[in-house]
Amino acid sequence: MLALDALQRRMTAAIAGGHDSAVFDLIEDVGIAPAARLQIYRNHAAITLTEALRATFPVVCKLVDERFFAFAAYAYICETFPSEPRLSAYGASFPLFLRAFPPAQALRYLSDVARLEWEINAALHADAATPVPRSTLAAISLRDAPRLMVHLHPSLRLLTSPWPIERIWSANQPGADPHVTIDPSAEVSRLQIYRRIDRVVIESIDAPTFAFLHALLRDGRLEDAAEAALRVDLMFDVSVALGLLLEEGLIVGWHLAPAPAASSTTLKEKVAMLAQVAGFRSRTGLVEHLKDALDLLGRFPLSILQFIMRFSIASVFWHAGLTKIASWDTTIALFHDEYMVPLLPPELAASMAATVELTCPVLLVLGIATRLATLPMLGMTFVIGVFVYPELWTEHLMWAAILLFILTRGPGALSLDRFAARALFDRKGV
Amino acid sequence: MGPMISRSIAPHDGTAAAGIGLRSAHVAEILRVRPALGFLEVHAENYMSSSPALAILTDLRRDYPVSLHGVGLSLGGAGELDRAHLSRFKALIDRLDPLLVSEHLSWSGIAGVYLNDLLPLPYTEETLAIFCRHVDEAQEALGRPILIENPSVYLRFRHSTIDEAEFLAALARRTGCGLLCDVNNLYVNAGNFGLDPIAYLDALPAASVGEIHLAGHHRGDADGMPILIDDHGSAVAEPVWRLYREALARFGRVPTLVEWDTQLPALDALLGEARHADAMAAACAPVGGLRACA
Repeated sequence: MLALDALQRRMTAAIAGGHDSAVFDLIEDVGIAPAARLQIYRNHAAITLTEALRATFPVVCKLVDERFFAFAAYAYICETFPSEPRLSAYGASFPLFLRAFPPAQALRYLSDVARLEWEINAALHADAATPVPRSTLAAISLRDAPRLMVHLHPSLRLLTSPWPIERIWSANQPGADPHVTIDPSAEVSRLQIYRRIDRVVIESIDAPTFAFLHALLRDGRLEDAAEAALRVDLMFDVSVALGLLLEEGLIVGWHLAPAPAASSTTLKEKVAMLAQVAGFRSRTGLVEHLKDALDLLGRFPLSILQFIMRFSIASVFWHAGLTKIASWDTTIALFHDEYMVPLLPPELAASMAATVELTCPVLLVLGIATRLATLPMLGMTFVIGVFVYPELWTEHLMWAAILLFILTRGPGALSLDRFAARALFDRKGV
Repeated sequence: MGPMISRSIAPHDGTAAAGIGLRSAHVAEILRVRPALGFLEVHAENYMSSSPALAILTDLRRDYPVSLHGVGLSLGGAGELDRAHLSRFKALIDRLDPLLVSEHLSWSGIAGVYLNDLLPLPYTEETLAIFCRHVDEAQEALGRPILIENPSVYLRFRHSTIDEAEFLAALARRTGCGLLCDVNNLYVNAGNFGLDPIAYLDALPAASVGEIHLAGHHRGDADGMPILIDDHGSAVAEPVWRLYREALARFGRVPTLVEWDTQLPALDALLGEARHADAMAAACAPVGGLRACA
């Protein structure tokens, strides 16, 4: 008598594998032949498992038609029987099987559509979990944020494909527009798939978000996930991404890792991360880099700029002065007929203007009594701007701005004033 | 006997006692109409994940007793029971507090291969010992007695030494488990192997029978010879109804299920079958007491 264990191994081989004639000898041979009796069980297995695959991969079935699907499913079943009783857990390797299945090679995206359907099935049957309220994470102290480990919803899974599989899937749902055409090579898919209450949500996400979630799913450490995302895109905003996860109910818990991980992240980056996590303020990687750039620009020597300002405004006045003395009669005529300065007689006004224009620029360039020298020039600018050529106010406002800067901030290091101040008072600033 | 058969069935409106198998195509209508039914039975394996289907069943559980019918424990497997599967089963029982829990006199695979079928066993002392041990383990792990169903089989092993009804009687005696008498399976097996179904019913320990299953079958052929196939794809056949009356006469008005799994009819047709079962049970046991017509 054959032991039960040996009998069941033979029967299993005969049903799953095919032709073990030795098992026929175990079966009563009355009426219907043992081979035909065994075939009833083989057929039943093939039919029910094909049905299970069809339930999990309905779009694949639609893309290839029923007969081809049954053909592919049968080939798959022959090499892969279920390993446990839940039929929803059967078919995990069907997408890979399709990728290598020669008759399915014409539809190059088929295997990836199957992967999407498998992930949908997995999300549908994933464990339930209760999302944490948004306030939970906001309450984490700044100091602890680098140790934050985020627990994502068990249904969340990610998928990339070189094909637009989500659009292919959508176009093959009941009630979809049958006339829509999709260029299979048109786009890359990066998808997040998860269950929201009683339905599965499929969403396209961008590359940095994908990298962020991928890293979070791997070990849950927020710091690593942020780093992974920033490697893809410096504009990635960790706080926005976390906020979205909270909104979608995808964060179901958190804890603090026992000690900060050994990491190449600099202290400065960590502090920036802390601030983001604790406050959900809009602080991005880009802003950090902008700040660095601004710091660098801020280190450009002010004294050079001050000299350029002094030199440029001095030139304007100096050249005007030279023009005035080059033809004094014309100058007087202009003051008389054109400039028409109020209160002062034209001759006096012309002399004062020429004096200012030929002395103050020299003081400005050399940096002697510089702040004092700007005052007559500002006075002249005011008179010209208000009484002579008010229509040119923008140009005169620019002169005034430069002069006011020097009046209020001084001539800077490249000046005799500074030299004299050091010599006389042993102190900086004039 | 175990608590599962001494517990009273709570008919939805005081008259219906038969249940139906809950199938996804009918769920929306049942949720809307909430028809009078004795109970709803489901395959336990379909609810062993946190799927939306489980949420719906949990909702329906507030209005209907639920019967969990396992198809994957493989109690007749020569190997060890799948502990993970048992604990999932236990979690489902804890969640739903079912009226009945049942499994099959069969095996489904060995050494990590699951064939997704209820496969026939050789009825020997070795098998009986293994099956009893597994039922003990299962009842221990699930924290309650279970019912074991007589299967439909299409082959028998030469070295079987025990009659199936005797095997079930011994099993019930040794483990304290209940029995689920599937009248359609009995009819199909009797037809295919030339057995006397009445003698089979007589051989079952009546006090152990805690549930009856009814279903449709069809006449197919294998190797050019006629064979009855238990496909749960049609109305209960007239001779099966007659056999049901015989079962009622012996086992009393136990919870009865109408199964219909393939080529599903409209819900009304299924409810009609359940009402028919109720009418027969009522005619047999007009005052509702167990074994009133025995």
